[in-house]
Amino acid sequence: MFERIYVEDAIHDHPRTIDLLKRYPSAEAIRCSRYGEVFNPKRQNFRVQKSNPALILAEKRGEKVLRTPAGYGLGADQHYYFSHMLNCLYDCRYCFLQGMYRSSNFVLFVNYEDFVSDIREIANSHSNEKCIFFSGYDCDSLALESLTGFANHFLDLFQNLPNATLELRTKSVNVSPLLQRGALENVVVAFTLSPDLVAKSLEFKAPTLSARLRAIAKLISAGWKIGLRFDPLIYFDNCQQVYQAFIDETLEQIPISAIHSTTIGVFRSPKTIFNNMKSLYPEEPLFMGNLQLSNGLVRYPENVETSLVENITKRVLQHIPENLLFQQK
Amino acid sequence: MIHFVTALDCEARPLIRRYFLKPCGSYGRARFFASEKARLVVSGVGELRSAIATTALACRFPDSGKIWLNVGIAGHRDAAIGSGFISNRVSSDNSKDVYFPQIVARAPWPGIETQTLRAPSTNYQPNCLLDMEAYGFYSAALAVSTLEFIHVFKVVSDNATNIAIKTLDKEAVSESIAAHLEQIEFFAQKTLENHVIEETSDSMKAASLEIQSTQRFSETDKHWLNEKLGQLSHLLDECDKKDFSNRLIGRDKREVFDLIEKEIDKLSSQRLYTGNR
Repeated sequence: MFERIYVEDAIHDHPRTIDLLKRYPSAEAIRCSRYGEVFNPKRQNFRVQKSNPALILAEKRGEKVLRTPAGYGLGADQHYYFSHMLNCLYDCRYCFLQGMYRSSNFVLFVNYEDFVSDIREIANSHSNEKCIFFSGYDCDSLALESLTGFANHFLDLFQNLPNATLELRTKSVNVSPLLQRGALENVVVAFTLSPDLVAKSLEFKAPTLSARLRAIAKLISAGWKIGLRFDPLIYFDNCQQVYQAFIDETLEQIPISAIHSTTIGVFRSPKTIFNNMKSLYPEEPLFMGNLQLSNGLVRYPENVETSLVENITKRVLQHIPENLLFQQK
Repeated sequence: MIHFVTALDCEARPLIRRYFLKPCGSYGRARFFASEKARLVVSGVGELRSAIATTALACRFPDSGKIWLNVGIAGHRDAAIGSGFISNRVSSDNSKDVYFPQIVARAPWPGIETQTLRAPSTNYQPNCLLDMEAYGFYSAALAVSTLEFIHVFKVVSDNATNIAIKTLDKEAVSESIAAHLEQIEFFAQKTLENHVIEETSDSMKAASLEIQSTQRFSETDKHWLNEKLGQLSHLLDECDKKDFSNRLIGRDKREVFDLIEKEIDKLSSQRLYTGNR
């Protein structure tokens, strides 16, 4: 799968590094002092690298678990996020990662133990509060599970953290690692879902909507809680009807009892990230029209956004109670 | 278009023959060669000369859409004479910074670190090529291209059992590079397939020029106009491009901007459908 694996000096002897290098014996191992030497330089092309990304094994230093920005909560007392990986297997045209990072190589932070200890410390410091930890902000939580073993490792942690909930945000249908173990009450498998039309136009390399719905059905049968993420909503001709049909079709298949939460958010992007994305894909209609700059974010005009959100919200609430729906701004 | 940088005439000779390159001037010690498919500069030995020659070649041919290749010889502790390598790490005994070329096409040679030295050396290191140009070439080429399109290809000319620094066999050097020409060409083509070329259609360019010739445009206006006409080039079919360009002619600036914006809003929301792309 990988032709080149960059290895940061600091984790050269880490057991996870040794294991990964053994599993890819034909990959060239290239040493680097810090992952930023490979990942951060200017004069790289994210789009070009996406055709054949390399793997970078690194140590996550400094703060590993961060508070979520305002407006990204799910009603718990505390919300945090962490990233064991940077970049994603999929190539979704709306994704902010392509505008945020200069490289599309995958960075895998192999020091899971340090993440675990920080998460445990934070959860214990809020022992009387409900905390949610989001994974899958800078990557897909499950797409590279066979490579990373991430979910298995972190589920062991959350099994023993009753006041903490883990969200695994994904588009992956690779749910077998979850099906092979008992469902955990405090773990949510949150799927980003879009109408088939949008998925085919914008979510390249990602599983189809129907494949994602099948994976959700399997997880529900095994007792896992599901999150539904209708984010980003995309504006296009006839989008209201397309989204309404999609919401009906999706929510009719999923029992309310299995839904942990549903979120809705429209396409929006910080200006700098948007400009980077636009310059990488100048032919992409998503970045061309019906957008405006508002408070540092590029987003649809207010009337377009309001109408889209209100209509979709109304439709979602025909299927699920209000306390399960959250809007992302 | 491939841009080659070599240090020596004997390294350049097989490339000159392969691509039918003709001499086309010089800059200091650097000598240029060009054809329709490739351009080449012979830089002379050393990191600085290589950097200067690379910059000079880029200035002489400032068009885009090309791969930059430093082709030359290097020393290796134990690799066989004539073996080819592509650099995956380019370092220098003159700098702390390191470059990591991003290889997006499958390379026909193994990857390796190339360390550029200020002086010839037989102090061979394990898993490392020693040369005298790669770092200078790389630093200079980065000013005009990106890590995916700048590569260093080296053929082993000496090793711990065949130390040949003082008596370079020029014929042997040419032959050893010639033996890799097919692979060099294949690798260059495969890499270039990843190059994204942004083009505005001719009718849109003509309309842009005509509009700008009749009214005063600030640099910001010009930038906006060119960007938006580029977007319309992607959204409109060929005959619609001509129709739309004609509609722009003769209008004042505000009307032009308005018309373009409305057309992009309309078409982009239609084109999000897969079937319409």
